Amino acid sequence: MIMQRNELACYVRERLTLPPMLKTVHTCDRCYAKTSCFMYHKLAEDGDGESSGMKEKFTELVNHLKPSHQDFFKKWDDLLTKEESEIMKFKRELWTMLSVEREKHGRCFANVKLVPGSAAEEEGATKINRFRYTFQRSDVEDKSFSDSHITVGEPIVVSDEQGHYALANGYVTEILKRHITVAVDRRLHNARTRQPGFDLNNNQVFAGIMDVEGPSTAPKLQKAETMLYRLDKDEFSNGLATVRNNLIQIMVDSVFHARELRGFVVDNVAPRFKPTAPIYSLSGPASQLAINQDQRAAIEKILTAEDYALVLGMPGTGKTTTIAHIIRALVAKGKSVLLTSYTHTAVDNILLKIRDDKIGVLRLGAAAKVHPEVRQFAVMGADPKTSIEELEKAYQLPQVVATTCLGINHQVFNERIFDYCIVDEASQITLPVCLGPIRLAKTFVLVGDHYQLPPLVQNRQAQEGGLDVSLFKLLSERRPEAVVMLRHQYRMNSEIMSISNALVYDGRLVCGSESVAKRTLHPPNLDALDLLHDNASHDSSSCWLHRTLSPDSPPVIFLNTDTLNTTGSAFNNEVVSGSRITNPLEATLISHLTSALIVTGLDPSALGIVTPYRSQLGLIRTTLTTSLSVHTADAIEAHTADRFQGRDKEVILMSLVRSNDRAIVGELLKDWRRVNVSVTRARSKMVLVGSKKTMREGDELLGKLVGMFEEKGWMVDLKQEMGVAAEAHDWAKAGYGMGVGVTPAKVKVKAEAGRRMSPTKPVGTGDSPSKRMSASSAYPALPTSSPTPPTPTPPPKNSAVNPKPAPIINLLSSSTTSTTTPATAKRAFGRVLSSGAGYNVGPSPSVHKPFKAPRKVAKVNPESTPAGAVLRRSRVVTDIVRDVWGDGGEE
Amino acid sequence: MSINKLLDVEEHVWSPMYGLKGNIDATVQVTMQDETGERTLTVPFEVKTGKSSTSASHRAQTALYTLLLSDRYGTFLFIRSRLLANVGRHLHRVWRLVLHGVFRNITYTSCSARAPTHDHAAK
Repeated sequence: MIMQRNELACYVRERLTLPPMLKTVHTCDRCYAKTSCFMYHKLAEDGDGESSGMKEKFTELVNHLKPSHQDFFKKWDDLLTKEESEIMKFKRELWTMLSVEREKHGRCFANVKLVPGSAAEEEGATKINRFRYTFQRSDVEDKSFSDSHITVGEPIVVSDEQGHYALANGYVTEILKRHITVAVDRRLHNARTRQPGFDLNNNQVFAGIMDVEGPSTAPKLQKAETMLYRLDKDEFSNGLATVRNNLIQIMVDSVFHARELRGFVVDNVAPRFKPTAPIYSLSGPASQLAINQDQRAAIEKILTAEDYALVLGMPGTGKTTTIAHIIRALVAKGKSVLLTSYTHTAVDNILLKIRDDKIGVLRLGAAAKVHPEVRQFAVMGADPKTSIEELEKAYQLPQVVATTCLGINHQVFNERIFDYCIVDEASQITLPVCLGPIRLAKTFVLVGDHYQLPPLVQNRQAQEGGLDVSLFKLLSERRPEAVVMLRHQYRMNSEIMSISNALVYDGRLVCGSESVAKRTLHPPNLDALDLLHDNASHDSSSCWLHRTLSPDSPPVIFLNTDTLNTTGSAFNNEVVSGSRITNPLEATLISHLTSALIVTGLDPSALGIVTPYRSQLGLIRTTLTTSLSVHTADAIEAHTADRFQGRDKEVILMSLVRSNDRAIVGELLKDWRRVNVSVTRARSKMVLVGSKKTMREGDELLGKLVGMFEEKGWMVDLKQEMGVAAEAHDWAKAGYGMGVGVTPAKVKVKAEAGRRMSPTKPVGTGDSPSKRMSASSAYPALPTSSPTPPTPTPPPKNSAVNPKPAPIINLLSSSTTSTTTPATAKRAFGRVLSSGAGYNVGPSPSVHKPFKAPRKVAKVNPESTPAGAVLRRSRVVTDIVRDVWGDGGEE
Repeated sequence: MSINKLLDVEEHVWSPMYGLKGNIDATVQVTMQDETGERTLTVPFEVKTGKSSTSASHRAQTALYTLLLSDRYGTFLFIRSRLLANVGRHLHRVWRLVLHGVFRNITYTSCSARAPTHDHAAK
């Protein structure tokens, strides 16, 4: 058996050929894999009745396939194989690399131990992954858990450091600097502990969990808590079996709709539309009833579609609302709808809109991944069913079934066919994945925008071969008549929108209303900036922060760092080290801008920071925590463009990173789709920080943008005399690093905070606040920096850890901001800083809600429904794939 | 032969030594007596449906699980035909007790039977 295993493993590893056909009629005819096997033999190996050894049993299954189908299949199967090779690379690392080695690659945490007493079991015995454990480092080394490729939601494997793999599997629920918490499927107990009298030959006795006399009395965690573990990214959770199966299924003639789909996808058969849309009426909550002409056209297009329709939704054009209306209209006509998307979040955002519509919805997916407010639709985790009738009622009756694209292996899809399938985020889904849901419905609707980020593909050859061409893009380019566009956007003001129009949409994107077009950032406490200028030598109106943030400033600003160069020679602000590319200067500028925004009253959750490089992201995050309270810094979302897609923020700060005299902007910035996503996230203010020269000379399109910024007067050349240096502002006054209120201890924190802002201080010792200083001292000083730090004060313990949530203080009543005595100023700023009060963003502040704070719940975790369990490995991939590799990444 | 201790349930074992992985229904300690004396061993325990106790694939699976356990527990590989025996012919009584719980997993079972995924490959 082991030899057979090894033979098979060679085929799996090399992927050059498939194992030979068995040609044993009896065995093959009864094999569960007969269909897939025959399809592969026909399509990939040019097999026939003779070579298969199955004669007419083979030919009757495959003789409908044409050469075009074979070409299609070969192409996509090959692309998947290439992509899979990328996953395979990492798979062997678990066996071939020491944990400490793998940790250097960011895919493992080595030598961790359980935090005593952290073990917990979640109530509700049916839940997979119900065991929670928190790990910490076993050594004194100050390595953070937050700087790796293992992020919240990531599937992980818990092993021990003695070669026992997969003691438990699960996913990450929380990452702090010193702790990582996981939810896993199995208890970590004292297994493998030899008992007295152990003898290898005759008495293999180990600690157990239950003796014949009853539960084992041995203390369970004693050993587990002292044991050293390793946490690895679970590379085995990624598989493309489900996706490959989609390709197979559309080739099989007996499968529902397969013949039609082959026609549309492979043979470019024209989609049919009815001449007129049936009558329909809008329903739903009043807040959603006002729809624009595009949205109406989209609904009508779909109602007339007999085969498929495509909805191109540009940024901020209300795709979710439109999809909600489409569902309502279809349901009202008695149609059944399969709603899918790439991520759970997108599925739930749509469900949230129709939650109160009394539509029967079945949401498939693990409870932990489903938004709490739509969990009512996820029946799997609910009460056990006691009869077949109850099961049928739960699965057959709901008119709408919602899940992710990889959730389609659920049993219910063997039983049900839908009238319509709607795929949201379709431009981000690879074609073979997209085939999964759409083959379950008579008519399919793809919603997306191929001018934004394409499907994430890891393997370069696979990408070059076209794996990143989504079905949405393929069909919309081939069949423009099937496309309906959503052009009216309700997010960006007209200036921010104009960047995107210049970049990709060629003026087609328009503001949905006058109030959207004129949206402006009004910092309620702009004067607060003045108070940062201790020595009145700086005119605050010439201060770069003031120039960037005042309501009179343009909504789009490009802060050019080239001009900070005093020597006149080429200025290389970027730091390239291996695959890491960072720009400490930009990180510091972003951090100062952030501080200024918070000081002037912006709710931290209304601010987003975007940058193409994950390494820069890490640097920015660290820089923020050295200058802001943990609470505030945590509330600010900093991501790569990939993670921001589909979302928006009142203010976006973008660090472009690349700054060199060779005019290299890098692959990431050269992808105009990524740039498009980055510049279409902001509602009222978009600040770019970067090197004008590098951008202008490095890429044609970026050069065009730079030209546009200059022409419109959006370019600000940063100069030292604009107060760029850290000491130009007395940040201590702004009360950085504090939590709530003012106590003597807190005053000390402020002094401490001031010290942290100065880059060249010696490193302190002790607990976390001083560790953070050490981080800040790692940053190069700004060009003219000659800091005069306040007297260092010992940091109060716990000041940086776990601050209490800030109280809401009415800004209008905090008139103390106008007094300038140091004590009151400190207090007032402290409040402003911690109050979380929002800007007034005019002209109609009531039209939009403030952004929600980042949800801490793991968006992604392995499926925990019994039905999903078996598929969890392959399904999780696509959910996490963006976090795992895509996400900007390094070059 | 008697089972006198339960060491673990649904233990996953990934064995780099054999390049195999498996989920073992239960890891148990058994005491065996025969003409050569008494031994206490750590062995896999699999619950199967169907009447036949001689199914080749079941026996193959159990044999491979024994390999996996020997890797994890550092025990000697100890395969004897008697160990791979069908240890419970009265399991239907147990089944009745757990039936309620199993019912909830109906979809799971049928789903895994349909989808050609890892499970089949492993078997």
